Amino acid sequence: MSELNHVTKGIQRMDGEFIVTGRAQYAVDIRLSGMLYGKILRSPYPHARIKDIKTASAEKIVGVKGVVTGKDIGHRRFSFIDTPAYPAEETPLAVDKTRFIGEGVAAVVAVNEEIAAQALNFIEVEYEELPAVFDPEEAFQDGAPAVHDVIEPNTTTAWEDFGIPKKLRPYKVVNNISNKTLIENGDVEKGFKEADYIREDRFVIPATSHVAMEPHVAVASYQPNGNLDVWLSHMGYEHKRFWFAKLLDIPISKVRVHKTYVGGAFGGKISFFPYEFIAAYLSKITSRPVQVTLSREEVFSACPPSRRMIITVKTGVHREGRIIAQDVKVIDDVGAYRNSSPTAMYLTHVFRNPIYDIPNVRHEAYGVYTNKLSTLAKRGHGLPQMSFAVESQIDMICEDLGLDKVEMRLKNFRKKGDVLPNGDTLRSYALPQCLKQAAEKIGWKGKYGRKRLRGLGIGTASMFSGAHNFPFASAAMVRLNHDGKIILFTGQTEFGNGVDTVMAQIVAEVFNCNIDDVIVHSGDSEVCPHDIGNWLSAGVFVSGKAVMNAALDLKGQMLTYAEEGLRTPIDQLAIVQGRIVSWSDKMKCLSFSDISKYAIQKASGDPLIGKGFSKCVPEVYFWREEFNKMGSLSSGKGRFTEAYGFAAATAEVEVHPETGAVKILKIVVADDCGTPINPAFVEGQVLSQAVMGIGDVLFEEVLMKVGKVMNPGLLEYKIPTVADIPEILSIIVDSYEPKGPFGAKEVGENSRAAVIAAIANAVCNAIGTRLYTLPMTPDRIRQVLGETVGT
Amino acid sequence: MSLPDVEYIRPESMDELLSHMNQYGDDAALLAGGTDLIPRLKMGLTKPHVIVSLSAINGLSSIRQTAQTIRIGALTTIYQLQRNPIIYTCYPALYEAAVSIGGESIRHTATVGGNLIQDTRCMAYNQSKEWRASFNPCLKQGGHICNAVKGGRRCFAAYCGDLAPAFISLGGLACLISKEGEREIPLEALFAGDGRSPFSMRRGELLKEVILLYSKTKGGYNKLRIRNTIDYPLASVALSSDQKEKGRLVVGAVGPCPLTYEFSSYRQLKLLTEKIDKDTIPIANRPLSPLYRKQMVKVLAEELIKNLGNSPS
Repeated sequence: MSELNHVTKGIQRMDGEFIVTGRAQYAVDIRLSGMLYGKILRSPYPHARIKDIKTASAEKIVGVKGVVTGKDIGHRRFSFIDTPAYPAEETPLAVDKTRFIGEGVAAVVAVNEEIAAQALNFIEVEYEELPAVFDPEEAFQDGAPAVHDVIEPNTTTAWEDFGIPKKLRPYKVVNNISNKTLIENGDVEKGFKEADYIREDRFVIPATSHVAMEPHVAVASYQPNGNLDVWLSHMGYEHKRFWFAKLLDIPISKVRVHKTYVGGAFGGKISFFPYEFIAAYLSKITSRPVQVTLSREEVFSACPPSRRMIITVKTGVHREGRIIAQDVKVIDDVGAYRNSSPTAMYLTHVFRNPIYDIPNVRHEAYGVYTNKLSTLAKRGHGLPQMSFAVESQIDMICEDLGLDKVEMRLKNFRKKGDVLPNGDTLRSYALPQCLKQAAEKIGWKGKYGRKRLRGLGIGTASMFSGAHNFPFASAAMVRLNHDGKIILFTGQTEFGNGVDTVMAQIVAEVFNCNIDDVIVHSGDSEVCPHDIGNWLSAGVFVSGKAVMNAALDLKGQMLTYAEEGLRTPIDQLAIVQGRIVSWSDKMKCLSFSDISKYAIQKASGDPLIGKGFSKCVPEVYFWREEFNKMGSLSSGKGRFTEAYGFAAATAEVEVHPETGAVKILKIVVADDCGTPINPAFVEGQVLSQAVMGIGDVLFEEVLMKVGKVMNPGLLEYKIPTVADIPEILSIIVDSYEPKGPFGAKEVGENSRAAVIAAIANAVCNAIGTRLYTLPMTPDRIRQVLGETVGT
Repeated sequence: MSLPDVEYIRPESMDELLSHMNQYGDDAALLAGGTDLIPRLKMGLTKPHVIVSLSAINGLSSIRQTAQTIRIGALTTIYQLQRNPIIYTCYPALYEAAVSIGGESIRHTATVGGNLIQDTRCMAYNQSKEWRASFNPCLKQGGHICNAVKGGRRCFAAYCGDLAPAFISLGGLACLISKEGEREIPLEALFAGDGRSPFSMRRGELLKEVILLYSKTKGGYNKLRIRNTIDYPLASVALSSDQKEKGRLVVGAVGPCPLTYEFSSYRQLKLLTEKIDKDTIPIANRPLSPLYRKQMVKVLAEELIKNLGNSPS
């Protein structure tokens, strides 16, 4: 590849100054004339029928402009996944009954937040408490309280709106099962018969919260002409626009999602939220803009955290370590609403699939309703939970059979060029290099098994670069300004991922101009074209390609005019530092600004707009009755993604024999992201994932007691502090993905899972016994230490 | 969560302050650094009629040395305390306790008095009004049940101050002042041992300063917590001894008040751990299992005792 000027350079964020000087505008900073403030009243019971709600006293309070209940809003249903097989069941406010502590039952809108909050105290709700169920294995039994009965869609489902043929049907909930997935390749029973050694282990992973810097907030302004302007804290506007439009029964084109800075998301802001609809609905009924801000406590206790899973893995291997069969059962403790469970139950298989070449696989997963808050994707969406389970078991198998933990994994990895059972091709695959480098840099050979109460561990992970999920593809536009600057319009969402800068780097690379000559206008749904968003790990891979194609389109147009203007054939022209130059005669050159003038004067005012697009998985489509290679969430068949990112991590820890406290000495993460568009950002992604992983293994858990979140605050929900972070080394492994822009693919969600598995394995290696649950707090470690070390 | 509407008074002299304290009694909340009071106000845990600010009161934020004593004003910030060379040199238990409090920015605001007179804590109590709406009011809220431990009849909210065990291990005296005058009591006498109402102070009284004997002591402070900063202790031990092997070991954060143990030789000190283990009965009102917290008291104590034996005279 020829020398790159912008791509692969770790330049500083273009919006850094805005953010650190406080000029960046977040949704909570929006001030609109006449703006009102909304607050939500939440159910204190895990399962209760709403018998009556009296709002008259609240409505009388001076400053209150409206009070709404579930009855007013009705059964407008939404969900992360809404298909004929799995129709949506959640409503913005509970209508007939509440299903978890924290579910909204009413909302107040008032002239300021204090009055709105006070007014909540004056809403009288009469509840009839119902028996509740909190344990998914109990909920699954006959006779358990039913969280849902029959889910009857009252409109088309979202996927029918996206274009799949209509097949509306009710979903009858049996044994509280919300959704099922069964994926089979080969024949597991036959595989187990051939195995020399079989292990079966059960792992329990609790929910952890996303803890984004910015809590959830929405501003909605419903105009008299039916236009809806919104300012959100989110991860992609297409999904939000769709649901605002559907639930308010207005055309999507009337919903404008404005550009906002977003203070982190990590998966916790993907789906449509009740508070967002409530802001829009209150705006509609008051004819004034409305802001709804959730407190940190509401985010912890009423917004979905990561998915709670019980994972049972049964693995059969040959004596020398070759994995021959694997049977996985996942129970997803869904909570009150299904949310992203159908997706996650599929992802728990397909995210791990590219790592080990296992000929016989069975993956059975189902979601179970309980009376707790629902759960959602968090950075990896099922991959961290599965990696913890599978990688822990691999370590145990190695220990049982006396196998080297690095070599055994290398022996089972797939290979570059492999085609997976579902048809995905691993065109770039540097996972073996990742593991080798991570092992080398932690000093695996010299340190493993040398010191008592010191342990080393390994974790591996892989992640898609997007899938054929709404909105399926991205487009981008670039426009030449008369001063020669290039303006990029992309629907990408900047929430700390650095995406604005990365897209500018791609444009600047195509044009070989200064990075300051590129202006990025992102995240505004009115002006920017459709975009796949930033929650499918497809930002760079899909939108980056669309941006690159748009830039190439504009460049082609500009070179055509330069050819005319300089009377020089195109093949003798080059762009050098923002000027189009003739090779043979360096005096013959035109600036970008000159091209703009030429287009206006000599090409009838051609505005020189370039457009580009890219589809996430080109082969897959559905059109009318035709389906081609569609991925099925329930069977695992069909194409999934075009490229996978990979990560391997190693960790070294020391455990205190008496307190059970874990001290992490070092973490190494080696990542295969193809070409790193911005290596500084890649390192930032890897480091932040490693820190998250430390939290997952040592500190974090959404503690629940009879459906109540016990630690809904930053003091008792323990994320790592700066004093808890060890040395973390991040390595970008040499790799190139042919289908990605400049060879790039996914990087934002992989390392977390690899680090979780690595630290967990290191702790268990140090204490000489296995812990099957997270977090590995000192009391849990001490308890097993007491049983083995016998201090 | 926002601050409630409440009257705010800012007296400008000690007399004025004591007058207000006498007038309002328990209806007044004292505001020093506010790191304990403000969160409790926002959560609706405390509902004073008036907030009395101490920001204009002079003379309470210094560390003074007399011939025989060190007198630490109640408005001394934790940061000032940890930076004082006498504290660092003479009172290692106090120094270690001070630097373990919260995080650096908290230590610049929080005060010695506030840290000492902080309210007891419990996971079912230190929650917002909305959170507590799921339960009937607990004993600490003036109700009849314990929401942390089913069937509990007494309030076991834990006293989690870091400075108190250290000060008590040094035999510190609390100087209390009111309109009636001043009185000095051993600091441990300040604690009522009741999770609901942790302090035995008279109406209108406030803590003026803590008095230590000016001498070089040995010892330290061990604090059990999940993270390496910010968190309150889940169990703590302070140990101080003079140059003649006489001193005190104090256990904190496992009950409504610190537990004090005296010793007059290191041999006697080593025998204390069995008694301490029997006396320690934490309940499940904080993170980590109560059994683990109980076991750790012994571990924390033994480490301090071992270091005492090793430290130079």
